[in-house]
Amino acid sequence: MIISELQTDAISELINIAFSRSAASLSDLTASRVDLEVPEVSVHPIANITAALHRFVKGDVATVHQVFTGPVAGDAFLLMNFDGAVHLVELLTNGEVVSKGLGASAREVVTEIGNIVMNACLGVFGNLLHVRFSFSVPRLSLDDLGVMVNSLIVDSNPMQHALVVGARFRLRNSEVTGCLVLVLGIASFELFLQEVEAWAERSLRGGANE
Amino acid sequence: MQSNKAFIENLDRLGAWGVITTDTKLFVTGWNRWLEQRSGKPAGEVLGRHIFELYPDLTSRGIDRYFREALEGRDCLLSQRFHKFLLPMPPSVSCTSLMHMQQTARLMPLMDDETVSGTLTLIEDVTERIVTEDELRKQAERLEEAGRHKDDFLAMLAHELRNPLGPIRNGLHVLELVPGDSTEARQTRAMMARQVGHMARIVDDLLDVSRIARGKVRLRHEPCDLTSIVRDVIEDYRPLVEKSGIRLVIDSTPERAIVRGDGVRLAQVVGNLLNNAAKFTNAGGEIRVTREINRKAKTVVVRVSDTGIGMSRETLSRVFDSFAQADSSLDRSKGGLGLGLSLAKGLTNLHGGSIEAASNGPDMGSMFTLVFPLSESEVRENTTVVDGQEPAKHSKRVLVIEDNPDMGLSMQMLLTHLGYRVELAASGTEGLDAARQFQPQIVLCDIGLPGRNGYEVARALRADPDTQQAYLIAQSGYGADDDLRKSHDAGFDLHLTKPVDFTELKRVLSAVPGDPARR
Repeated sequence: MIISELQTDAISELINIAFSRSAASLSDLTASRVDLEVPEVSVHPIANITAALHRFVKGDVATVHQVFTGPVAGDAFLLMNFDGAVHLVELLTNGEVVSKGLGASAREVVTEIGNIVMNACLGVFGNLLHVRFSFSVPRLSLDDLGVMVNSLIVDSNPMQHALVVGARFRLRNSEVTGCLVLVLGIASFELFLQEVEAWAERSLRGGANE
Repeated sequence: MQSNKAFIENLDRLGAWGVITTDTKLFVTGWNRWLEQRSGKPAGEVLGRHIFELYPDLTSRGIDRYFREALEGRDCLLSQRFHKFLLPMPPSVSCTSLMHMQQTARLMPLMDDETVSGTLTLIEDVTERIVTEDELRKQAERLEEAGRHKDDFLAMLAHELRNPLGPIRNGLHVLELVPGDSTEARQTRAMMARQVGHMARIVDDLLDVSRIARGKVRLRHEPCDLTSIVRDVIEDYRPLVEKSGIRLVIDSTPERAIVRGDGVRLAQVVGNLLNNAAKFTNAGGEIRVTREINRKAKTVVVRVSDTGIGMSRETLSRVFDSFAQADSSLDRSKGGLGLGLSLAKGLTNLHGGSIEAASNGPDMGSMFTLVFPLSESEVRENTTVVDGQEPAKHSKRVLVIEDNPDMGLSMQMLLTHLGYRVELAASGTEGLDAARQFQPQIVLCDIGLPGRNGYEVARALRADPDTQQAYLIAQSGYGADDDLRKSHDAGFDLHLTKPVDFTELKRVLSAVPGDPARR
């Protein structure tokens, strides 16, 4: 599936809205400024996802996973390098959490970060599509990227596609890069893109809102 | 409501969770037993009331939005680290730093088919985990700090050990160039002796600190007159102190103050305090040493006060730490490892005494106070005791057993020069023969000897009625606890680590009575 430049721009814009909400939530929680940027957006067949993910993460990764159901159904993932997750926890908790091995409290923090980012994104998409998603409880797994991707491919329908969104957290003069992945079935993806394009066109005409 | 009650009861069986359910307007519809017990609010008092009315701080803390998200169909996780707790409840673990039970919570929509019919909140008590994690974090910080201090200390140690090497190396070159009996040669040898002494002191301090830290210091427990020890140490230090333009005053009666302990170590304690005072007092200043006997409290108090640079409260709090002084720029400017006070404290404590430091602040001088218990029998009888400082010269026979000819010969020369009658043997077997012939009061024996080693020599000397009374001193390049234990087990009275400090050896030899029947 190839997405047009307009669709890419529109998705980037929507993700930007979601990320700024996530960043605001994280800033509130930590009482210090957190920025969350979108370096790039791309779509890949699920079987070819590894190369796309390698642009953002490698080796051991911390993955927060949430299943969402509704008219557009799929899986949402926030992936970060293990070391990046450790660093992000240190930055967000001001070194309050002993996180060298991502202990229980640090894992909860990573899970809540993923939860905030994914809820914001799916909330924005839900408003766009005028549908209500149901979300599962967020779960964190710590695995090698290859193992994580294999489980994703094995569990997925080969027709599924993945929307891969870079996610760059910036705070306290440091940055941690990860990526948000939405895995959708072909029907969901087509509906999603259709709605995105409609939103973009409305937006270009100056009448769009979320 | 009835089906909700059954639902809550089912969740209650799942384990240690607090469970709240609300309707879509956030009025509480379920409140489980766990919450009744922890919050002190019975379900009857809570059901039907609005959650934000019950807990207004949920709004002020921004947690209301999670309830709204749940009503919009989203699951939310509230980690303890970001939120500390959802509902204020007393901590489940006794911990002074926590006012509330620490919680992780999950808020999710309560679904009725495809419709959100309210919210479900699960609360987990994670207080114990947080207390453990915080303790681990503090421990990690302490270890990190200790590691940093040790790194600083090692860097400083390398610097301090390297410093004397330059002059010693230069001295060797000078000695090759000038006649052996020239003034330059004498000055050079004196300089080299000072530098070697400095290095030896650093190494000895290090070993002592390590032994004290591990509780491995062996002390003699014999009556010692602290008055004469203080007086002798002062006289030893007087040239050094007065050369720096500092006045040294002693304020003590000649009355004996007998404590049980190790005279050499007690002298080391007083010496370290004097050395410290001299280091931090500028020319024109004064160091005053007082010695008071409190017969009623059965203690003897030694105070070393100076008019020097004094200490801030922070410096005062860590003045006896072994490694914390490494970062003191002041201490660095004066050189040394900063172990002297730590050693003084360790050795004082080993004698059952106490040491305290006081200062009114920077530039206000410092005062160190030593308190030792007076020996019970001496308090009772106020008898005189052997001072142990004055050698009975020209009367003692010393056998040196040493296979290194240079070492043996130089030791023989030094001891002969001091007035001892000295025999030299180059092996264990030769040493035993010489001992039978010579009947020494003191045997200075190397451990690594050809044929019969030092331990075997000591056992043989102890087994022979003619030599068993001799005072046996082991000399070895090894000074670990195990080496000291082996020497002791073999029958040695004392184990000295090479290079042997000649001043200490002189003190030890002079303290050995001349009469072999003393034992």
